[in-house]
Amino acid sequence: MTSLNLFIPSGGFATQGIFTLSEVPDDLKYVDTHEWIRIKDNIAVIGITDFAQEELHEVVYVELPEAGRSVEKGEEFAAVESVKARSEIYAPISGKIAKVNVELVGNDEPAKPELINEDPYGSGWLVEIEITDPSELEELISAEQYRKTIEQS
Amino acid sequence: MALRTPLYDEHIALGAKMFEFSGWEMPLWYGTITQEHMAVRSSAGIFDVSHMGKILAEGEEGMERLDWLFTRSLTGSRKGRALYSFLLDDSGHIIDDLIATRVSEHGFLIVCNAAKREAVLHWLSANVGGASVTDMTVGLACLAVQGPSSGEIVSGITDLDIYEMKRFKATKTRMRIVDTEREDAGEEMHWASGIEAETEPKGAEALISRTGYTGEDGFEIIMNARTARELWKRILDTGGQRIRPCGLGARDTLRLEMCYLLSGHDFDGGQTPLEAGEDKAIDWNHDFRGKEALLRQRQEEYPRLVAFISVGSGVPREGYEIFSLEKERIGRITSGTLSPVLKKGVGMGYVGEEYSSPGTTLYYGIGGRRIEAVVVEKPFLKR
Repeated sequence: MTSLNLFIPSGGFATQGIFTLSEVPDDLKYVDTHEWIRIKDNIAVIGITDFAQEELHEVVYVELPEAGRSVEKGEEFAAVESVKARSEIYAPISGKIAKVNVELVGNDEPAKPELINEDPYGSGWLVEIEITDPSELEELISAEQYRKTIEQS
Repeated sequence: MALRTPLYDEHIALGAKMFEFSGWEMPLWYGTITQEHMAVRSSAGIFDVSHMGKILAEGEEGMERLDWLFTRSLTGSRKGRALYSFLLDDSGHIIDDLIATRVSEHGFLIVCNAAKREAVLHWLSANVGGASVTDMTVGLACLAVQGPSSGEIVSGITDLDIYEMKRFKATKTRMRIVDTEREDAGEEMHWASGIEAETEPKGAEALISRTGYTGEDGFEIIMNARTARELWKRILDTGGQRIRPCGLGARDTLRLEMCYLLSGHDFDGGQTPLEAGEDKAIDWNHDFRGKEALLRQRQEEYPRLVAFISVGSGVPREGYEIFSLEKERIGRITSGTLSPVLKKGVGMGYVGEEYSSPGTTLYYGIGGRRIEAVVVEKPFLKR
């Protein structure tokens, strides 16, 4: 996500410190642009963090890439629209899109973008990427480091 | 350090997501924007809008000069009338939009945008020598109760027959707050005694007006800051399931469905009321500062603030560019959101007159994205 440019009517927004008790699971990796990465062998499951979904507020629409497509780390490859803001999502690692979460975009069924708010680390996942360059994983940050990132934001 | 309204602790207790708005720590939402928005459209919502600037201009002397600053004549209005109008600079550009209520023979309570409080105070003080201009913002709180059920809720806590009250009328009365046996809760709002209703003399002083920023029936209640918490709780108790506390997030989506202007966004010092499409807030029979510039502009072509709806699923956002059918850049979005009622992306922005007719196809986007939209008649929601 480039920035969490939410509803910012003249003068920026300040998060209320005591309410930012966002969940940050220890077994995941993170990027400071608020995506999480769960690694299973050569597959990386990607989603947005609890902090990100809270800041975005009600997600109303999700854009995901086609399965089979290759993405480069840092490439803008998905987007999440909430009532108040749109956030582009950048690939945290390079690879081939192995699977996308069709529930979010709803091909035959009605789309359920709200899964991102309800269960950001579970049924609100975005895509699975087949890892092509495992060395990129070293640049991801730990849960502890990510907690520091959101405390400072 | 941001300012806090007298209701700050109530917002925290209700679990509000707080944010900074024009120097104030305000609730953005309590539950979700959509829930709060729909509560106001279908039943009722209560907003803390104590951050709004509240300025009292009083005194026989200086009234003519005060009048000259507003696009509608304040002194031509009756006591108890709340007028929506603009302050303009000499080039006709909007300094702020505000509501001025005649509270006495020679007194007006002017409610302006929080971010413009200093500017409006300065503008008034510098131009109305003779009248006194007092900033009442911090000593007064303001609650907005909005929605089709707001009348029955508010009438439950005042003796005033609020159904008799017309739109854009204001009355000073007393509200039955929790401790109804208590002696009069203050006699501080004497500045509004010119429009006092004859009611039970117990309870908290309040200035009620049938106004709002949502497009629904509703009331704005101005009272002493120290009685605000009791009144807030009393309204929530009285309303029960019919009312929901609402944050500024829903206030923004509600006003945008009605195409009401948001200061600092839909005008930011470089637009006239004609460009903003607010001709109804101009009284051409009244002489006002900036009028000459507007009269000149009326003879020319000028940009228009248009309202448009996305054709597909895209959502317009402030700052995105607007393009013509030929994909030429023709403007910038000043307000945009997903309309909770229409379930479509809706937005406003200034474009040339030739692109302003309803039915005109536009595109908007950022970077390489181009999303189709169509210009519609304002407002988005027809009441």
